[in-house]
Amino acid sequence: MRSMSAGKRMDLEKNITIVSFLLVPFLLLLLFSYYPAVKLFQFSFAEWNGIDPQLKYVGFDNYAEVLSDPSMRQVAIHMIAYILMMLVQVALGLYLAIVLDGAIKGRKLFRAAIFMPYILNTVAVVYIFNYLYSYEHSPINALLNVIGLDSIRFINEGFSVNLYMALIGMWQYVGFNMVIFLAGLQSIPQEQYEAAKIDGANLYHKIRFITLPSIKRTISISLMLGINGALQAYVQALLITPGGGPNFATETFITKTLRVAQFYQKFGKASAMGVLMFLFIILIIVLQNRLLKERTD
Amino acid sequence: MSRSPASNLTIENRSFAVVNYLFLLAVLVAIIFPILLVVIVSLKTMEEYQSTSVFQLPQDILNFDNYRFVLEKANFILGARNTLQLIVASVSCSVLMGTMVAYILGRFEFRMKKFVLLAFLVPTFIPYMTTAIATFTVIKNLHLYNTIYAGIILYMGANIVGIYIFLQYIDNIPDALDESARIDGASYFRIYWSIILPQMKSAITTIAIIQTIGVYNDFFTPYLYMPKSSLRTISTSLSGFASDRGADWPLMSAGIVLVALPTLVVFLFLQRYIISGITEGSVKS
Repeated sequence: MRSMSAGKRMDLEKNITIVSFLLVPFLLLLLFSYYPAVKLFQFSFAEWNGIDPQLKYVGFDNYAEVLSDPSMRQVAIHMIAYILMMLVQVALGLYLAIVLDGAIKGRKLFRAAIFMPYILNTVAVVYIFNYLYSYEHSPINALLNVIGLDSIRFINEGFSVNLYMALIGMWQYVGFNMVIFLAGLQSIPQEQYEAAKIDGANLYHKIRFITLPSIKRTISISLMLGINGALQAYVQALLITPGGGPNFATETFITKTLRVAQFYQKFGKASAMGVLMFLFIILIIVLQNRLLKERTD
Repeated sequence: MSRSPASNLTIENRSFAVVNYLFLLAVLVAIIFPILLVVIVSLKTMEEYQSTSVFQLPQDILNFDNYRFVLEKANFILGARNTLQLIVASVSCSVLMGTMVAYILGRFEFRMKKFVLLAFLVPTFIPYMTTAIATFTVIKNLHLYNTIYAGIILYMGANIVGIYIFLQYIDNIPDALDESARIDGASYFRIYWSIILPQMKSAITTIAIIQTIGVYNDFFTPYLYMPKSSLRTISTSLSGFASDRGADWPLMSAGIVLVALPTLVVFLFLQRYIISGITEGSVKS
């Protein structure tokens, strides 16, 4: 009898510990992760100015409005610039990791320097580039002029302005890709390379048949994080061209969503945009995982 | 780090090695030069900036007038105080909650365990910017809008990356330690507090550094949820200063350098923690 009641007391203490330790983290999770996601979905079916206590449900009107909005097509094209740059960034990160995994002189310095932008304050980084991208006093243009080329108007009305914007993200985050690839490379057993060497494999063979297959998971993670980051890019566009740039040439999905909500007070439409972006990102991630899995089989 | 498996991949071929090295140097220049150029401008007077080449070194290399002006006028001191409050409050809460969740998941068997882990994992797939519109209304309804608590509460939620890293550490702490404490009559809370927590010092340091840098560098949260000028953080102080003085590059550059310096210093001294934390966090989860 005594041992049973002691056991019960222990169970009670265990349960109390579990509940009390998880309670606050769980409440925060519900309140700031799950609830907003549900709310976003609800708002997306309503017309709402952000103040009225009553939501006026309008069915799929917001979605129809977003999808038929010609400026959304423009934004989608801008996002392609960010995706392209992200792909270059992942490839460059992989290349740097392979090179810096070797016994190259000064590799520690290279690694540290290339990773360093990742920890810099993003706002500071954006303004560093705002300086580089100024027209008259741009150091890049000064260099171009020295070698006899014309100055570039970085903040222009064309597609290229988005590439310049995306380049800022690449400058800041390529070191992150490098570092996670380095971790991946270090888990490949040395023997595999030695065996391949005996078989007469050249550099290309080694990379193609040993390195790349071994770090497929890391590549997949990099692409996943990359797509997520690229599609949600906003800070450079928001800070360098607060008004959206000449003819909204720098508008990204997020700056557009914020503008729709803050400036036009259309919370329903902005929510529909959020839901669409959310679904789009999930879709791409699922597709990508599927593709990578198929290639393994 | 020890020399690793792929190490000889790229140095076997001489000419290839030379090309790689040149390319690496080019990348290094591309990383260092933008920063260096901004430092140079920050030490120039406005006249000097307008009359000299961007590559020319400042006449007086110790001309800190721009820095003095920015510190006095841009309210960076206020920004630093707000940022520090955010960091201290949110990082300590977040580490506490992360270790508590990891302790429960690592040491107890219970029915809903899988569900709890999943519940913490799923939100990493919700792109946080997309739900901002709805989070905004939650913050408003809780009357946290334009208060420092908005930032604190949004930063402090225990995130899955931290939980994962803490879990790995807890798995490496021998169960025997817990059991002998149990026999001595220690409560579970006591075990968490005096056995588990002290054993996780290095994991806690790693996570705390990474989150500190994250909060320090974040722009979105203060921009959206606490726009009041008295609540400016370091990040929003710089963007605020830019909208007033954005064209004055010597002053702007001084502001940029001041804002960028703290994490740079942290990085120089704590590089190992930062890199290991970031690799573990992103690859493992």
